[in-house]
Amino acid sequence: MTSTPVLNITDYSLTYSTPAGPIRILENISLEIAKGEVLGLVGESGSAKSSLAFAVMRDLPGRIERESGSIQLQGVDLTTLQENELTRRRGKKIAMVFQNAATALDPTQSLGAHLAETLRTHRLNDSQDIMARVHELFELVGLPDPVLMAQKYPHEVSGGEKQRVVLAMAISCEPDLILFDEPTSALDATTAVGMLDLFAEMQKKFGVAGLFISHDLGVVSEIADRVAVIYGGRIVETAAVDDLFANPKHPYTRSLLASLPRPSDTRTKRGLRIDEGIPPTRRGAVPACNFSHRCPKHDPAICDNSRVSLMPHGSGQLACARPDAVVNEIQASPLETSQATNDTVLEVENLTVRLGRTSLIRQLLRQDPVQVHAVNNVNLTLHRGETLSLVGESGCGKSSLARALVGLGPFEGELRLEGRVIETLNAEYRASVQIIFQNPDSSLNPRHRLATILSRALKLYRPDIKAGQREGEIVKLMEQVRLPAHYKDRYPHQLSGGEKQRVAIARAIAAQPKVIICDEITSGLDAAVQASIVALLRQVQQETGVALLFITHDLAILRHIAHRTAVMYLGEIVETRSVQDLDQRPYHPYTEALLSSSSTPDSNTITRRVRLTGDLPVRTTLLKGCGFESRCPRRIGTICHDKPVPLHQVAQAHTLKCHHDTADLAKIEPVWQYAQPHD
Amino acid sequence: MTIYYVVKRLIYLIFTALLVSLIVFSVTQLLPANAATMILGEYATDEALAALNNKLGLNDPAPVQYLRWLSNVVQGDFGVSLRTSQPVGPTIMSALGRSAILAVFSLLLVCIIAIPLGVLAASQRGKLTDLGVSLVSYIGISLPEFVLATLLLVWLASPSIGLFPASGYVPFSEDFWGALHHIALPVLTLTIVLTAHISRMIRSEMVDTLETDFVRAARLRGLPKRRVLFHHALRNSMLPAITVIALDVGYLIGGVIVVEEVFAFPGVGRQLILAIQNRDLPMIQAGALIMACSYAVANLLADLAYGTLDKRIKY
Amino acid sequence: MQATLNTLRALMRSPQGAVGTVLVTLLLIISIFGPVIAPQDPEGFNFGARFSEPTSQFLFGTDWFGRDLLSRILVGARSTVLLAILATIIGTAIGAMIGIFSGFVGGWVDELIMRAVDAIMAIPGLLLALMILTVLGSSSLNAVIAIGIAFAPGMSRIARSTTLSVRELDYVSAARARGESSLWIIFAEILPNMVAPVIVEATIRVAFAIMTLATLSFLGLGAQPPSSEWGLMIAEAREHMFRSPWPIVVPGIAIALIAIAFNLLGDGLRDVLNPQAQE
Repeated sequence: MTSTPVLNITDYSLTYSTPAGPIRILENISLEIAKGEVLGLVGESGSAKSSLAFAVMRDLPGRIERESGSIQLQGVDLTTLQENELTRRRGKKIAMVFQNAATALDPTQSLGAHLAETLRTHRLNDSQDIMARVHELFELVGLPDPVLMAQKYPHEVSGGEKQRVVLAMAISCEPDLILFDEPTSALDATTAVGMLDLFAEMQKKFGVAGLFISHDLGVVSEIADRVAVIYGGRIVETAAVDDLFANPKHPYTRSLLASLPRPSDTRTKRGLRIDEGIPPTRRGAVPACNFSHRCPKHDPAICDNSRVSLMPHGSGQLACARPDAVVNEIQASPLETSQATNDTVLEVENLTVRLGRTSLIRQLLRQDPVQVHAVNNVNLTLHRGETLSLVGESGCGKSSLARALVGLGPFEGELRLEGRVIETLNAEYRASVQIIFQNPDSSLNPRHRLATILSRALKLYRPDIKAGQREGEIVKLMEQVRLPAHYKDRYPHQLSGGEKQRVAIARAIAAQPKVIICDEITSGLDAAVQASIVALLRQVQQETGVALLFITHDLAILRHIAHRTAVMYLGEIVETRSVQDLDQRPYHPYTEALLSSSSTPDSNTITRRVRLTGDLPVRTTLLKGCGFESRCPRRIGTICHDKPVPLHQVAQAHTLKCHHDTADLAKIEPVWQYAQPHD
Repeated sequence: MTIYYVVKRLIYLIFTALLVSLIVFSVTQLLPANAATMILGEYATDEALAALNNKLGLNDPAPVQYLRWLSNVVQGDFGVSLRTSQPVGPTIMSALGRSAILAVFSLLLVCIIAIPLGVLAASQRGKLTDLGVSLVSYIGISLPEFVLATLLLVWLASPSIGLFPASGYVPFSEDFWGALHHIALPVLTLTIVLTAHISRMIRSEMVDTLETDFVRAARLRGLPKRRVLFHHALRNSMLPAITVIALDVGYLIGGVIVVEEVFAFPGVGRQLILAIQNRDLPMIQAGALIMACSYAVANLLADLAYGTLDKRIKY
Repeated sequence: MQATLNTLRALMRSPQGAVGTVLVTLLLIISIFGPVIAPQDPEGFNFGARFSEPTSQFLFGTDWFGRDLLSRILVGARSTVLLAILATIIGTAIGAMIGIFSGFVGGWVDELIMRAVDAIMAIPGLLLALMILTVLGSSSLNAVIAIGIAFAPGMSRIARSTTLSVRELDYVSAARARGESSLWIIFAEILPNMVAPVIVEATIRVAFAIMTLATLSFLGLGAQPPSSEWGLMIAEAREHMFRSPWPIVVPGIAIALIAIAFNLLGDGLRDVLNPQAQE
């Protein structure tokens, strides 16, 4: 580290005032970022990591009750600067890349205008042609056809391209520091890895310092030099990136890493640590250590004496009163998926979903109906006690498929439940096939108590239970999902995110279904809560033998729940295979890219880089050839575009759809390799 | 924006106009007394009534009458006023011209005043300026036009002050300053009420826009406050504002009716009220139809403007 | 109910909400008990005190017959405020029913209903009310009906858009996947979640209704003499407007005040009931 840090935050604290009293946002934050260094800031939702970025930008949205400490950029304290001084530095000395590029760009301005105005404002290139510089910057961030791109409007380009424009703006004035606020969270995995590469490249090229904020430890491990872990508005640990992941010191960091799934888990049989993740209190008395309520090391005699602050520890810093204490930490149960059977429960044959309706006037004008081919001829088989995961990126049609299966949309094709062809989705079928939605905030009616929510399923599907006995059954259900019985009179908003999802699970199992469709049900949750939901589902499956269709975009978590996986791309299933040998060749080129793009701090794996470029084809026309052809790194030629794709039966439970011969695909260099732990 | 969209909007407009004409026509059908009774009075003989009914085609089935009326209207023939026995068409058209003068002057003034006022209030959110603008606009939207108009009349046109004439109209072609003098109070009334509405609208749109990510992003790129406010925030707020201004034209039309009545200004509104009071069927039909159609056209123009300005919309 | 109390508490925290709530409560009490608390006979002539300015005997002054304006306002409050609320309830009920039905059914039915609603909304509100009154004849009650009908299309638009946004939420999907009846979905899943926006809109519309009712009476199409409806009071006072401004100013301020009160309450409610604003 050099002697003059680019950013130096010293003992910075921030408290907002709210109608319910003051709320502590950030407490005694001290951080340094050296020239050319990237500091990763990780923390779960609500840890105030974004607030720190906005504090640095001096753009705080709340009503400030108290603010103390200093934030120095190149030796100048930003907290004492006048507004016009700040305006001069923003964008020029310190730039920001937002989480959601789609909302960070003005919809009425062209992409080029955004950049040109930034350059003009900071009076760079007075003599030079500004548009030439704009095109140069667009080219630098890897945007194809910069001249055309500059004329386009934000809604005309893809999410990844928007984020590239935002990055171009951030580097345009060659600032000293760039703040990245979850810049890849809104992007698909295969797009996100490309962005990460670009960030790293730009950062090296300009030698700019970075503060990289993310909830995703994997993403941070790819880009940061050092990592700071924030919990409840306090920094609890900082360390060099490799140190932190190999040897976490703070009990919070340890539990965070322990609940994170890794690609190697299928080999090592490593289980996930379960933690309900109750957030720390931010009001009232200031606790000595705000993690103590969850901490296995917590000893009131030592930990509660005085405020635990961040101290140098080894090569990094640590905020813990008992850093060297050895305690029996709750060990995660080893990875064990339940035994699947070969009894077929649900079969889906040639299921096709088309979305969109044509208006009367469009018909009168004889315009073609605009329909999106969301799901094309999908075949699936689910066995009793089995979990089939359906993996794909946003917009691939996996949710349309789920909704069709539970009667929430029209479809073509055949369904068979336990061998019987389903003509209409009657009450019996509905009881047998249940769905759990991604977001419990919207899937539980905010005006209903939990008792009402659960009793409806009982009333509709379990006529054997009399009205008087429902109460008892509800308590049993809540027990099954490990919710206290007195919760039954609560409303959903009085529950935490994980608890709400448990209610949704209870509602699904109330019908004693044969199949439960889980539509991205852990996506919005922190890692620890995700682990507990997955464990609950496994337990339910063991007890009841229910088959699960587990829809996700996250390859890492499916290793902890699924037996088989189906990979979906543009409405088609391109590959189906068992999870045990997920990393065995051959794989579909898209599966290859997906495997490569899931970034997780895992010392046991070596991942080869596969990066996708190119655009998705239009969804309103049916494709003749392969849907992945436009982005495929292993594209053969026009055959991929023109000819229908053959389906190969690679092994008994392994099918693959590609123009390549499977023998050729088996010969490629493995994208993922298991390396024995070296300690 | 595509031809498809324009055609779609035009079809809606025609559909709307037809439906309005149907409603206007049914209203007169629902009346207890028909035109023949009104012309001949209560004490007419049955024979005379029957003869006139026949002559006017009032014995035909309602759909036939509607189609005949509609085809006449399309050709510009609105019938003959029962009150004055003059053709309705020319009367209503010249009245429309005079009402348009009020409407155009008011709308222009409103746009000049209301937009800067709304922007000012939003940019000073929570401060004294905002509070002042909000307070005044609260009063503005809570004062019915007739109250405001009457109060202005009492204060500015009373014989002892005599700043403005209390009623009437002078054509611009005859006496330009006199004409301005005569329309001043009606225009002032409409402007105050509409300004209150629209500045409130602009303010609330601006407040929402100022909280969006892209405005924040613009600010954090170091753009000057003025540029963020006008170039980014106002541009994006104007789109919804256009729709609301067009909707307020409906308000304006209601206001015009009242204001013309208070100031005895010979426009469509006053003709309509006179017609309603005298049950002058052809005049009611013509007045209502013309007002509703002007409103529909205003909405169409707003939609087309929206379609041209908003780059996101693809039709 | 706990929820109602919470709403009220939150409402009292914002200045506009607090002022609106207090004003509306006060004015409602006055409207209901107006005739009881009126100090004098609203129809009593005092020829010795015609066009009186506000005095200790006549707090708000008198009109051309020497009638006490305060008493007339208090008695007239019923025919203005309560009837306006009635008109709003009629409009809200009709509009909400059409809107929920249209939004829930969707498809062609929805498109047809909404095109018709668009067409009716293409007639400016006051004009529509005037046309309805042409058919029904002039009276207070008919004016109420006319305003109710004129409000219904706008209300149905709001009810529909709320229904559409609620309908897309997963708890309605969950209910549909569960195979719940349409009645349960409309009444138990959708309706309770629409109450807030509809109440907000209805509150603001009361202010509109008061102004429109007074306007109709002013035009001679609503309340008829000798009613002391506020709009009619102003209409009658116009003949004498240059003699004394009080018979115009007093009812004018009364109308503005009650409209401001409902506007404030509506805006306050909007802030409080907006789900984004909570926490």
